[in-house]
Amino acid sequence: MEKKRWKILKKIFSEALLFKDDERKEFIIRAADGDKTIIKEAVALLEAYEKASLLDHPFEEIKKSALGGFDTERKKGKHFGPYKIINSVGHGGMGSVYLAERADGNFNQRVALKLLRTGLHSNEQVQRFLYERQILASLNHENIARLFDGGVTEEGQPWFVMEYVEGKPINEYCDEHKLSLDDRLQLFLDVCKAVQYAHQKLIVHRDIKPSNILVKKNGTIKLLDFGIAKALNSDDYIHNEIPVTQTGLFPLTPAYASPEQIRGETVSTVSDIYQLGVVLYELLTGYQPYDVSGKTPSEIEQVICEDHPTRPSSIISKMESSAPEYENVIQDRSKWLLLILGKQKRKLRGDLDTVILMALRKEPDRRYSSAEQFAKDIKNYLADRPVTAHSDSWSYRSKKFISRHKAGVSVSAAILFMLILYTSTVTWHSQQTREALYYATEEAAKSEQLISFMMGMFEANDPAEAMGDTVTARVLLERGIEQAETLDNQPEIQAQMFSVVGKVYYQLGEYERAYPLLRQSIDIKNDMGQPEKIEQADSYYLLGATMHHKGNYRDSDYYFETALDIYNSFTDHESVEYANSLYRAANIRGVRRDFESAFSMHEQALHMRLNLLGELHPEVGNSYKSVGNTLHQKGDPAKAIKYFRKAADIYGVVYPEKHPAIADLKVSKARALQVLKKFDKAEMNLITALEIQTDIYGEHHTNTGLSKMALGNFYRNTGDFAKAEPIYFELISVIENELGGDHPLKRPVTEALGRLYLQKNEPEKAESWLRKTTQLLSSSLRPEHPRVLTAEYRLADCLLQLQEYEEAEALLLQVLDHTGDRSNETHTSIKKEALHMVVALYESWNRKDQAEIFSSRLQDMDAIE
Amino acid sequence: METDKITKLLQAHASGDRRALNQLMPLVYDELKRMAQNRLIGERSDHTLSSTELVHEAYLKLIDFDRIDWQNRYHFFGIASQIMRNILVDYAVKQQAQKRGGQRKRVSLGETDAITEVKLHDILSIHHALEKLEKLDERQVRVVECRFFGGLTIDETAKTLDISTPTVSRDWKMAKAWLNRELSMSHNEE
Repeated sequence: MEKKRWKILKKIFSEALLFKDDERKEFIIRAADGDKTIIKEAVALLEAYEKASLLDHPFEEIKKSALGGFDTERKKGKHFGPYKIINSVGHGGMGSVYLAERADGNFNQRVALKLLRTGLHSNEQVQRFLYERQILASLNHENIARLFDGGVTEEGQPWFVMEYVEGKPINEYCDEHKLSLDDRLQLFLDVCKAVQYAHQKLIVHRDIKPSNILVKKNGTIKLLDFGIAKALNSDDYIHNEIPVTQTGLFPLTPAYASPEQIRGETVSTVSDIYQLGVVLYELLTGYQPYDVSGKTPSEIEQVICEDHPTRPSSIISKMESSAPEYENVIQDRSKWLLLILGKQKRKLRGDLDTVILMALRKEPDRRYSSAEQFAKDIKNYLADRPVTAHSDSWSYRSKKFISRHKAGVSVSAAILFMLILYTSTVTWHSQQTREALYYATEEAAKSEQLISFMMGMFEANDPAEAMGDTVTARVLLERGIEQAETLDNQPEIQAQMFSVVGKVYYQLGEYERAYPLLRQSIDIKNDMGQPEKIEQADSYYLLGATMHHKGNYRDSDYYFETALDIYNSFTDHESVEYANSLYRAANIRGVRRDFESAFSMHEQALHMRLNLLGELHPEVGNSYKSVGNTLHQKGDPAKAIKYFRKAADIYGVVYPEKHPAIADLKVSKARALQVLKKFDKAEMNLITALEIQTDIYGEHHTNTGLSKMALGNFYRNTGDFAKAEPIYFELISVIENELGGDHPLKRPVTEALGRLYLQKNEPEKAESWLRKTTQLLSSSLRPEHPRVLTAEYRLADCLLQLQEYEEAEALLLQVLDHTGDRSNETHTSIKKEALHMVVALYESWNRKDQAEIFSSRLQDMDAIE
Repeated sequence: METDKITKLLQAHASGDRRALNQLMPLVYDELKRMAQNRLIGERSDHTLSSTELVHEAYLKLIDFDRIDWQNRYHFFGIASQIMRNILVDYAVKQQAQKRGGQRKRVSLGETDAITEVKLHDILSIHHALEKLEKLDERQVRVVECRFFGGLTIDETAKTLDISTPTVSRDWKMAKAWLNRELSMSHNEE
């Protein structure tokens, strides 16, 4: 039971006692307000209250025998092997610790003698214990407390004699000495070193926690109790008892136990890695990754085996913003921790988060394989080198989740919507009391987690991520929409629901469905007439992304720009969505050939992403790539390649070998290489890119198409028409048969074919492709758009070669008309080209007069320049 | 000498030094036991004495009155009650280990012993149930320790824990009910 429910129960129970016997139950039902569990609990407690109890009288009788044989008085001077007890040091969960010394007095060695509570019951157990003791005694490392001796008393009580260490648990030591983040890591590296040493001897600690890691006054680390857990419990493991339930007997500390330990599965050296992760987590945040206090064993099992820990950096952020739940900590740990760690938040957020979370993974084989690897990554971090840990991607987790809960997925989705509904309502109506607010924020945090989890789950539907695993959750989403539609009187929540479901559809790639939902969500919010909030910018961004995926670039441009406008109006705002909007809007600038502002916006997005996501993040890689692309477009292919290299470094770490982003990057790189006349390298890059895309997406996918397109263009540009032609034809057939005739990829291919035949001097073949191109372009772009004009100009060129003078004339005059008086560079150069061609046309057509008129116009233009 | 040390530690703990308790506990633990033993020297092995007596007497013996005010007296009671719990649990654990151990000496199971066995079992059950309760409601556990293990009255418990008597009364009632239920459930499981 959770503490807050306990409080409710306590109140109801105490108040019920104020009523007469026969009125109590009625009161409980009334007071519990329909909460059946509370009613059941309260009634059961009442019944138990009325029964006679052991506790009715204080424990009066202490038998003399209860006091014999177990106290220091008797132990004092008692011998265990060659050791004699001097004094008691403490009593803990495992047993009692005494200060002892060697009885033979040859040398004045003081030792710690541990007398354990557990009794060993069989000869076999005693033998095993003695055997383990032998192994543990072979551990000889400066950072591990030596085990000198051990044995079993006549009563079957095991005892150990170890090096006596005067020191503080590592977490207390760090706090008391106000160690900085880096110093904490250095200290932790010593711990790793000691653990690595023991692991090489195949000894697993099994109970690594701060109280077993002491720091002496001189700052050296000592690990205590290495391997003792196993020495005592080897039998229990074989019989597969669930350790958590063995309170008092088993020295396992739930807060530090790994999932495999909790489940009673095989424990290995990587279980220690997990526990090291927990210790590091606590050293850096002051918190354990999971809150297990007040939970039952099965609840603990669930938390440790299923939940995902909050990122360490988020805890620091929360502490800084003084969320109420951290109030105590802030008082306890005083401000210095915030000062020291707060400053490190950025650092923590990127690599260190990833490193700690890697150690804390549920699956033993996905953690660091050794303490040395773990330490190495911390050293990488300290030296500002990239870490080797990969972030545990949502899609991986969701894949796991789906494979484990195939049947349960639908249920979860239904619960999700009820949860959103419930929590939104709670947040809305019950802000009167502090308590209600507390509930609400806690619940809201939960649902937020759920939402992001669900989001992650649907990501797996991108073939790049899921390799075949598909979720049929669409039906459930429809249910969510139905629920949302009934919420007309609560527009804010309704808008939120629409945007959540819209987002899920977006993730599923169902853009047709995502669009109206996102649009509705924005419309509702706009209708409410409140000042624009960042959330709205987020929705606009998503809407833009949806349109972009649909190939509707005109609308997507508009939405991205709108999102960006809103973001820009908030000073100092930084968010992933903001960075994404900048990124997209920069791409738009690039398409408009405004390379300067595309470049500066891409750079801004890059820096924002670096700040928010750290160096090793796919989006950061994308940004490096895009900055590179704009540099290339600005005419600096050499510098562009440097950025592409940065991107490749990141992709190499965050992605598997075959990933669409890597393919895409290779295409960009090839383009720059081509300009630098490194044709072989360029071709190689393009071919690998195509192989990757085909592998992941199959033949019939837009991305594969784009890659193919790039290779075709390369061959065409380098004059290898024989290789280019079949590639383009393959593409056309895929587009018409698989992707749909109006696919945005169609235009570039028809254009490329037209140009190919023009280059090959086969205008009769070029004509139809060029006609298609102009048709497609003018249906989506303004007639004066440079692309339309260029296509028309090209068609006219073709017609001129075919001696179709009349149509060529009409087209060219139209182009000249549309370039009009526009003074921008692009239009001017098109106009000039068109004028040249008009002159050539009239000359071939034998219309000298007209040729002369246009020729003089051309001269006028040159004169102005 | 011990009196001086214990008094100092008690003062330190009462004024907020949490670590003082770690040093205080084993000292008082040993003293309590020694006292009980001295009281029982020469008595027959089934002779009993009450924990109430013991806790109060320990206080008289272990504390330097000139330096301790009445508040610290109750503070001591609280600690002593916790220690009584530890003493009894340690004993019960050990008895059970011996019972299962191969090399134990034979114990004749006379009527008196049978009763003791039940009590021992109860101590452990109560102890484990209290460990569970501690996670839900620490204060109720302190109340149970004072009332059941320390033999303190409601009024003394209130002063010891620095809460009102009605609160002690409410906590005690609920804790008793909860423990009753918990104990009957764990019996049923066996």
